[in-house]
Amino acid sequence: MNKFVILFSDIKIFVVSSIFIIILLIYDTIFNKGRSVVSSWYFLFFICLLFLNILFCSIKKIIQNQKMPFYFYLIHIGVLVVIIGFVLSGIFKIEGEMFLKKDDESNIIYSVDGEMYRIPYRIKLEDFQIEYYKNPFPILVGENKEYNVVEGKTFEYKGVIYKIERFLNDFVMDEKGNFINRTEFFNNPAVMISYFKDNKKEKIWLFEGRSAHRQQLSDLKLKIKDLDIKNFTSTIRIIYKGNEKMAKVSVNMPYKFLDYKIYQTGYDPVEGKSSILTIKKDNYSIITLIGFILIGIGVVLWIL
Amino acid sequence: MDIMINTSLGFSILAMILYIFYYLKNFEFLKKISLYFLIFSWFVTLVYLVVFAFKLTRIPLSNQYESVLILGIFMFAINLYYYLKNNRKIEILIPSFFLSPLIFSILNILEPSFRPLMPALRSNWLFFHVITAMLSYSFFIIAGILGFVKLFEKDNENHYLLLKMTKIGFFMLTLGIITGAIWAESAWGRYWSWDPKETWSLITWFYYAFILHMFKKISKKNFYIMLFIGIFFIIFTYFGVNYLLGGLHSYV
Repeated sequence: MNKFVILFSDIKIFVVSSIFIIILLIYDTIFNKGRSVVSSWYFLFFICLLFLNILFCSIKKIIQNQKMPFYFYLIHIGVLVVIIGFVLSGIFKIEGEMFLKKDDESNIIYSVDGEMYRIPYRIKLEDFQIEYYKNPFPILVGENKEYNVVEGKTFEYKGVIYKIERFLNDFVMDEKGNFINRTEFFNNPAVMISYFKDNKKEKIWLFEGRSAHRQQLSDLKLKIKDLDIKNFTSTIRIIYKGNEKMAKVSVNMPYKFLDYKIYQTGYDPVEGKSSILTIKKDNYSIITLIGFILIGIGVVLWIL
Repeated sequence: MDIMINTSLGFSILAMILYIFYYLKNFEFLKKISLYFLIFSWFVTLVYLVVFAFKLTRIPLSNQYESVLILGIFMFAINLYYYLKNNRKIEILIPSFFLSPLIFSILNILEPSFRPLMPALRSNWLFFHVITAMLSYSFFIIAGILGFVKLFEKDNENHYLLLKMTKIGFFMLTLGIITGAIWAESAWGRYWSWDPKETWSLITWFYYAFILHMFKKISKKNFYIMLFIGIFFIIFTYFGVNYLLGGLHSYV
């Protein structure tokens, strides 16, 4: 038998490469503060060693005419295919983020490393919607008491009559000094309440999650109820060679156009209706998927 | 709701104490009582799970509290299955006797959340991913504790029983990693992000792959020691990563 096959199919290679891969990964997650070791030459070296070991071990079994169960080949070839898929994707994949505000359009994405890529079509953000499980609403919480925030409503708390003057879900002050809503989202909720003190009408703004202005006058706190987000969706217009197409992208529901897959990966509520889309072209991800399927079938046959 | 977990905690502590007494004094009747107490504590927990799921209107799989609950039920069910299959040797239930109070204590410390699923978790993959991961942890933990117990026993039978548990644990872990990777691809566009939880799952996978490959080449004692050490990999992957390293999986 070929010396090369004998050398690389040795179980010692598996032992050494496995131990070093485990040690390097433990080091990487716990101690390493710099660049990840998974992209280092020595990590790739041990992965290559493991790859060759699995490959030649399988070849050796075939050469020696050892009758191995079918699952043995499925699992081991599956692992090799996954590694090949990862390597090819790592080399050829194009992936980056596109940040769009409502009515913005672009064909530029930025990778994690800051590299810029142009995709072959433009994407315009027509709309961005946050879907909640229930309708969120503001409340004022006191000692064992809750009051719905409705403008114009009055209520008595600890012997003081309060009136809800105004509610803003994203409180900001504009250039003229007016208090306005910056976005429709609950980024900085605030409620203005008024009350009488020494026959004089006082007004205060209460902000959610912050100590209230003139706190000593009230222990009322502003809270937003039912703020659980169910989903967020971007409605996009794809503009390609003079043609336009509308599409919706939401979490766990990517959209594919040409070779590019568009994922809804984030949003920035501070910027109002704005969406973070991850756009990826990876023609080799199918190889990784095939590897996973081979391993999956292999382990099922193995356990049966 | 709390009263059910507290009841389970109380009965599991009683079961553990009675088992210790049985072990030290060999009072046969204590063996049965301890077993009944243990079964009762998990029966109450099962009822609690059903009530909890009804309140949530979903299967509880989305945070640490919910996964610990599922993990505990899986561990006991697996342990009970092997107990019934192996001539009802009470020693096989040692993992349950000693882990049950711990699990119920953790459930007491953690707060249940009645919040609905966050957007990223609203996927059919959640069920398969979490169930396979929790099953793998359960098999590995039981095998590890039984391996530890075997270190102090003279007869080393059940060697293959522990191998079988390890194999099923490895099978489940493999499926857990694959389902997680496929889900990640549909949610974030990549199978693998080298997130600490993913990395530690891979470390654990390598570790158990190593044990399974070395099984015929190492002594039974070393096999048991390696299984026991494996528990630390599981605990770190499950708890340690969340509290020390964070990442995309920090909520589970």
